[in-house]
Amino acid sequence: MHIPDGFLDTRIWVGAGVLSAGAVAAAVAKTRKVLEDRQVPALGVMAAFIFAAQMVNFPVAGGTSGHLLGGALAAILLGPWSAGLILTTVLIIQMLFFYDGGLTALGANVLNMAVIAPWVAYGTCRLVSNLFRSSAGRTAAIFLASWMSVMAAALAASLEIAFSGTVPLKIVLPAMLGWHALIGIGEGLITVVVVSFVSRLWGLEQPEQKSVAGGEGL
Amino acid sequence: MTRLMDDFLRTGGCPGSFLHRVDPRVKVLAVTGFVTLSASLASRAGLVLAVVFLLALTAAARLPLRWLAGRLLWLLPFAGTMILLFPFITPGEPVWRWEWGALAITATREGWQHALVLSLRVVAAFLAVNFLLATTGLRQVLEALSFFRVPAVFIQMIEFTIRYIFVVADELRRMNTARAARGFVPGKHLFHRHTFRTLGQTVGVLFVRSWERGERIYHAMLARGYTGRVHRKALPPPGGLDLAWGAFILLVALGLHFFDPGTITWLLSWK
Repeated sequence: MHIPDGFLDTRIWVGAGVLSAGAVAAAVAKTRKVLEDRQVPALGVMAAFIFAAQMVNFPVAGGTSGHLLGGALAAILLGPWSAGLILTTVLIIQMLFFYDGGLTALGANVLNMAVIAPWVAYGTCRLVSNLFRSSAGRTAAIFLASWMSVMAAALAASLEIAFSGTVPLKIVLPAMLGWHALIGIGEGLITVVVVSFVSRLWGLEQPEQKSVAGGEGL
Repeated sequence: MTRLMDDFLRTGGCPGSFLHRVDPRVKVLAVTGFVTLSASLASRAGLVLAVVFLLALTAAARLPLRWLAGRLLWLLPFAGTMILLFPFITPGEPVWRWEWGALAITATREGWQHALVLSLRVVAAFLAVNFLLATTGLRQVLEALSFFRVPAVFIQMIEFTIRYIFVVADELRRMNTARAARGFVPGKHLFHRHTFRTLGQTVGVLFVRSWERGERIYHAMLARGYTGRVHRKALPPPGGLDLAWGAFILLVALGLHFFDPGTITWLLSWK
């Protein structure tokens, strides 16, 4: 889903860049309040974790495979603000070292994968788990949150590419959403297992840690 | 992955070349400007010139060309997909047609050209970013970014992430090996329950281990007197030669841009 250079119109990438710069600046200010600058080393290790988690491939169908994006996972376990910083860091490193995503498209990629994805996941998870207050409801909330975050990011990327006039909307939209509807299922399944594993462990052993992570009681 | 990162953490090629010594701030600005301008070029001639110019810069910096070719190969699947895909989805003058019963596929000239332009833009931007990182090294790029007021939180996070990617990825590799040794074979589709439970647990364990590692590192740093502030020495002002080099790069980009038909349509579309 990383958009390279040259796929976006100047107006689109500048606009997306301004939006994500604003969101990232808000996250920096917010994280400073919640975490203090001193916790930066811990956030850096979590960014390294997301980077490694994205190397985990899962089977999709017919020999194809997808990989974890980690937006929902980070948002649910660490809170959307920290998730935004972590994913932005991951995207910058991917752009510089692997040319995964372009320099001019960095703003758009940050917007899709480090702002929209975690916030959609966070919002969906809160909404659904407040509606159904049972453990099955919570599982459904986490699954739906992950699926929605992948779809929202894919939708945003398709719209950016289509409005730049690179690929017509009627081609890019079904292709991107169709593929990511499948990827989203894998993302959802893995996120459900990870979150239930981690919350069982933290619930039993270290109840105070979640508040340190800024998970805000999710 | 590890080899690649190592290459960039040390500056590559011959560190004695003039291009390695240009002020990192000038280099960051010049390369960003060049990518910005070349990403919106619309003519094949202009883009080919941009690619040739960047190849010349890379050669002048005496970066190992075999290494560069290896990295360029990474872009092949991506450019290949586009060249195979675009001719069939772009309307225009048909150059090739294939019929099989009711199914007809048409390739268009416009599609080929579109795919070629997009691939050239990606190659140009890749060469520019690659040049910047290989001749500057991550440390100096980050110094330049912090001069341009990128929040210190980010600079530090990038440094910590790079430091621990190796550790966490190694941990993941060990877990993969152990999983394979226990006889795990991944399923073939999304509805293979066992596969997803196993992979989820792998990621879960990795998360908890990383989290605890982060806590340990943080406490160890506190014990050594870490306060969250990192003192950086100010960079000396860039010299005249550095500025002239930056201006030259930007002038080349502007020149390419000026003679590009895309610019004219773009300017007209603003009115």
